[in-house]
Amino acid sequence: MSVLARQESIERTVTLREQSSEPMTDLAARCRAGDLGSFEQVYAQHERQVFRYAYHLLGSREDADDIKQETFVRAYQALTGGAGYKGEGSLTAWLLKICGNLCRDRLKSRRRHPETALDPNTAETWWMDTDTRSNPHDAMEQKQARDLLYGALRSLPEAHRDILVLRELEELRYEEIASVLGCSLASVKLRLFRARRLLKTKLSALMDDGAREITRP
Amino acid sequence: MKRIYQALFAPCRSVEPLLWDHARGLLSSAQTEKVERHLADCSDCRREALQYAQTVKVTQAARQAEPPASQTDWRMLAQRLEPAPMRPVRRRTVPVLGGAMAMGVCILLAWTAYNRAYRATQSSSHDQPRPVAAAQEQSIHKMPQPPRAPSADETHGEQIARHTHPGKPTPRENKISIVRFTSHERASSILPKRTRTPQLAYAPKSTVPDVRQAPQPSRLILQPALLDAAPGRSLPKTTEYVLGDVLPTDNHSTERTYVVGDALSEGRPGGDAAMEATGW
Repeated sequence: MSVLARQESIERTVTLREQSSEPMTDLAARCRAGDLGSFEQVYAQHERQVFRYAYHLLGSREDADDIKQETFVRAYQALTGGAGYKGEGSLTAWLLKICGNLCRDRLKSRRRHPETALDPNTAETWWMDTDTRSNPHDAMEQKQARDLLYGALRSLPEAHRDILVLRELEELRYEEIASVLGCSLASVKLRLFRARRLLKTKLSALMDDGAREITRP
Repeated sequence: MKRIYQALFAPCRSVEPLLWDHARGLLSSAQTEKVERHLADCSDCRREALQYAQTVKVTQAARQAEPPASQTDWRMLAQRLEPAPMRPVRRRTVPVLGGAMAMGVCILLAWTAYNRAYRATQSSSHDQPRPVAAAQEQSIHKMPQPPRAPSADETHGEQIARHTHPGKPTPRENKISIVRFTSHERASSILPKRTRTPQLAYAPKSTVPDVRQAPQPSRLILQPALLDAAPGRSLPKTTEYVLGDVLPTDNHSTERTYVVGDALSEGRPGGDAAMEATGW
């Protein structure tokens, strides 16, 4: 696919995202009938969030891209097959649930078959792709904050990492988190409290280590 | 009750869950006042609140940093979602069907030719015993043959034959071939193809009478036509049979099938056995 065609496709997606005002339940109903145009609107509305969630969980752009595509393929197959989203709850939560399951499978696969990146700097170049219109100083601060947060998140158990990403980075409501994780509202609140406390401990330890490194003669 | 207990005796535990939202400024005014009142008195919670504030700051900064742009777009996804266009049926199915039919015809022709050649070989070697069978025939002939009895002492099979086919010669005069086998595979390799129905010759012991009491246990009569037709004969396969056994036949049949062999002369029933096929 040429660069021009890709650019056109991205612009079309952005336009659809901004213009779409149709309720998700109606879109999902038309997707169930096999309407690819409606599914394109669903994609435009959610692709960024699905990609971001996968990226937060996996930490790799290539893997996040794979998972994003796979998520929408599975969603379309489920909708056209008569299964999947029935209009109850949030479509976003349903998509993120598919995405989260795929991410967990990918993480398990990684643990079984660890891979070595050909270019070890690949993971560190994500900030170069960030919005260049922002202030470089702010961008650098955000990068440092993200490195710090990712360092702490990586050391957390999977369940805590999932819920923190959903709440603090994706800013989902408690009900949506409960739907994605398949647990009760009370359980979400309790898990979130424990995850935040653990994150605070890990992050404080990392910051203390960093301060010690700086002040070391 | 729990809240009252926590407020009175464990104020730190009741305040800690609020510290995150306090750092983000999401608490109500009453909750904020309660937390700040406690923080003014509790140095541990002040330290905790500071750490929560730092964590919230880092989290918010990280949230503002957008992850890299995705490298995939709708067009790439749509290619996976749209079903592959169906090709015209004729293009794909006709060569497959034609090929299958041609292959079937070839196999049929080859099978027919093989059968014809095999039958021709069999018919040409009908008068001359096959090498293996000939060697076995010699060994059989070395055996003490049952006496050629006069009409008064004729065998049971001969009696039946004479009774059912009065105009035909006795079985011993119409000997077809002599076969010997010790196992299923051996029988299959020696017997003429048309008579390769080993289950007829391998009857379980329980279905045949005792060898000692079998009348004239001297010959095994294998009638090719009978073996081919084999109506209602579904004998279980077994690897053993007893010398002199009478294999079961149809209720209305007059033929009897006996198991004989060179073991007869050695007195080892059940050992290597030879079968003499005799047609009536």
